[in-house]
Amino acid sequence: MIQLYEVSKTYRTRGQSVVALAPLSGRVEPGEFVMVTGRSGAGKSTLLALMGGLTRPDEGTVSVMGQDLWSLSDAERARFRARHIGFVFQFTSLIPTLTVLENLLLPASFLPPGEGGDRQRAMELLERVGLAEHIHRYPWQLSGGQQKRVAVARALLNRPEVLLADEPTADLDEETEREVVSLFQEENRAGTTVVMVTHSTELVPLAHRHLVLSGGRVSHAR
Amino acid sequence: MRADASPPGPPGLGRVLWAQLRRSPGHAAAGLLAAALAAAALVGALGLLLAMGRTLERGLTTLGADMVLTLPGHEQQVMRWLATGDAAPVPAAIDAAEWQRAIAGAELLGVKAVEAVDLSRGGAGEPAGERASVLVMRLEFWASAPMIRATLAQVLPEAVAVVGEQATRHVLTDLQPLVRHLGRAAAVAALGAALLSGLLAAIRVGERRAELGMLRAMGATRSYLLVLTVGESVAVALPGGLAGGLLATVVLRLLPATAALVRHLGAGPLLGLLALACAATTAAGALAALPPALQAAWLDPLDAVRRHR
Amino acid sequence: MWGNPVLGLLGLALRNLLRNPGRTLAVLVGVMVVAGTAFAGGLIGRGVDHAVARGLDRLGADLMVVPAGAAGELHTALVMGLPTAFYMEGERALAEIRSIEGVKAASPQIFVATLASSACCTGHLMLVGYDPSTDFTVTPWLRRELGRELAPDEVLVGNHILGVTGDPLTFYGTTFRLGARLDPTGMGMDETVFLPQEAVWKMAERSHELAEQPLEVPQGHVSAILVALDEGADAAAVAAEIGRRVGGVAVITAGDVALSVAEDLALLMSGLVPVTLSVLLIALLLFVVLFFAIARERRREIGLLRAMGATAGQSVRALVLEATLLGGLGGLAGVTGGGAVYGLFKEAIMVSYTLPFLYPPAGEQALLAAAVVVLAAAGGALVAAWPALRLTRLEPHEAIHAR
Repeated sequence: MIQLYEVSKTYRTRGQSVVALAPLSGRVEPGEFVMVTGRSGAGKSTLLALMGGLTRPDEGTVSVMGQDLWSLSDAERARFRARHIGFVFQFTSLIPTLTVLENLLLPASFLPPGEGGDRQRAMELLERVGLAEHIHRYPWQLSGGQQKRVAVARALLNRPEVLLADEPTADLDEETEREVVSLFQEENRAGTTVVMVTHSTELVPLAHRHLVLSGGRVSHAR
Repeated sequence: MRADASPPGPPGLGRVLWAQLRRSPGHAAAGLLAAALAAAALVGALGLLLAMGRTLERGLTTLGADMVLTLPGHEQQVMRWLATGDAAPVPAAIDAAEWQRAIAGAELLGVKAVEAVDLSRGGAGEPAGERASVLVMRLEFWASAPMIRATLAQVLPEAVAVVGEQATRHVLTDLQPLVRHLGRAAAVAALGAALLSGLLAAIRVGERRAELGMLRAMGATRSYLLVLTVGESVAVALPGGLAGGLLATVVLRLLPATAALVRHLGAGPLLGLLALACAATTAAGALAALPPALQAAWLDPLDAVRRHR
Repeated sequence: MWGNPVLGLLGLALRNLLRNPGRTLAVLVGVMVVAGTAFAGGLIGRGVDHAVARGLDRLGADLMVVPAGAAGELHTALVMGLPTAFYMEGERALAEIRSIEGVKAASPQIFVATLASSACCTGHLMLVGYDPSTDFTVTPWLRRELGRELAPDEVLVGNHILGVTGDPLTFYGTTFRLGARLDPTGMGMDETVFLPQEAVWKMAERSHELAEQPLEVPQGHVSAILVALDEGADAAAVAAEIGRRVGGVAVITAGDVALSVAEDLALLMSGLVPVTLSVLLIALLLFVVLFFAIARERRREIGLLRAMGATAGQSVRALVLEATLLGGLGGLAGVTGGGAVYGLFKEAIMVSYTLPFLYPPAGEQALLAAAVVVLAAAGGALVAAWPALRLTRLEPHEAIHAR
């Protein structure tokens, strides 16, 4: 599903270079659930961003579903993301002046009408995260945990084949954390490939594969 | 809480734009006000300038007079009469026949006709009998008014000659300071509005980096973000400019000092001016918002989402 | 990092400003415009003063007597160097004037406006014929700088006239040589050519054959009589006496000229001041908006600093420093830009307001520029203090956990 070949990324800031990822190759098979752990600054977020085509590798190629992401134009890549990749970040980034429902439907507006998720799908997802009666509320009326669940639902709207989550449970309490992860597992069992970056090592056993990043390199893989 | 009135489909660009506007009502208000002021000043300055130009043209053509002879002390009234066709009473103290004889005797080149007008009752004037208030001279198009005036100064030393163009310009000089001030105010206001628009756009982009990055991750294209950012500025500048321009138009029409002048202008040109001022302020606001919009569009989505906090 | 902590802080402030170039630029432009107009205004004011002082000093005359009605033209000739020519009877007037108490010296001058095609310069020039035996305007300068009188075919030119010593200059068909060039005064003298009145009369005579248009200078007539007064003499009183004894003249004092220029200057300023003030308001507004936004951004950092024990002032130090830097940079850019723009449009501005101008000494200019920059920087700091201080009134806890 996801294929990385000799991918590396270096951040250059203020005259200093930080090697976020040393040349890395690997695959994530369709339907896999991969957890990525490691210390801060080890390159986990960079890895995720590279997989999702959010940032350009200095070297190497990134392919998702057989498509070389960086042979596409920016607009095409954006469209690709909308259709095939869902993102969940640590910060929910809901638009405060749109309702929960509107926030949820946002990914569909980046695809031609009819191709993305629709209202029915949105309601389904909201039911699954248990927020169906909040559809007309605004984000500031929800708790942090509830907002995160909306963000997860939003990532799933267009039925993406790939779900990339960067520390999605970092700010959450145990209970909500469990709920979110079980949502991911549900999706994964339904066929979605999930790559999740996390600090919580106790979640690791829930995944098929575990990648540990250290200093921009994979140091351990189960 | 709203009733179930949200539209069925996913929120389009317009809906998102409106949502963004509602997030920062203070920004929107500031931008609106600035655009209104700029447009008002523009309409005021340009409107008066145009009206003055029209009056000048009208004055010259409707009167058809190139030069008016009168007695010293009456120049002001005569100039007003030439410019607006309406004057305070000027006593009929000129011996019309004598003056006309003198003019004929001077054998001036280019004098088409000489008319004696009685302005003792003010207003537009009436044809004079033996005694006139002014002598109106019509010249051929190739005649030189200054030369004729110089010759007349010798032949009729007691007369004062007022040249047509001078008169209209003179009368309008009262308004010239106002136009100058408005012109300067317009320039300053336009600059301020543009700068403010750019600043607010830059601030917005800075504050909302995380969401903008998220939108990119979700599949928004660069042009989407561009239009979103610039669109917010335009959505504020357009109504602001319109309101300000309209206000200025109304004020110009109502204010006694400018009403008569602006009437010469007519509804068509005035509306055109309004459109122009509105377009100008909107364009300025949009241009100023462009650099931050470009910055927003070229954000590295990961950067935006990660470094935001 | 840096050896000098202050520089390090400033560098940090600069980097912060550059992090968001769009908004920094917007505010910078605003400050630039204010600084530019303020600087230009100050420059004009000082420049006009300087020119008038220099010009009148060079002229050496306390009073100028011209034909009645020609006072206005004399003024423009004196201030702008616009060529003008008028004549009045000279011998009797001179005798009368010299006999008045308080008059130290009186010297006649003849004004001639050249033809447009003077083969050296574009447009018309003003020629002034002086009487070498009684002149006290250019003769002292000649004696001092040149050490001799002008040769019969030599002329003395004002500072702005093009040419090198020895270049030929043709007026009304007669060719002269450029003998010497005066120092700049900023006034009309810079555009004037001086030559002995003998030369003028000869030139007029020969112009009937040599020139495209003949020059008529009525014999015994002069354009103006320059009068120098004794120490302590009352200019107004002597002027009145001259007016009484010599009919058909207007007497202009040096003070009149200065006053007239001051009025014209006031006109310019009355236009400039409102503009500067309004742009100042806009710049202030932009500054406030920007630093409110920045303060909100830094809320957490500032809260942390307070939690760590910093006082209110210390915690917002970086913010205020940024504001000072922004103001200072904007001021600097504005002064440079304003000075450059002014330099470009100087001619147009000064001509349309009939104002003389001479760049004040470099030291004064530098002082003016420095004052503007310092004011801009200080202003920036003051303006940013408001949002900064509001921020410090939050409890550190609130600041850290806000949003």
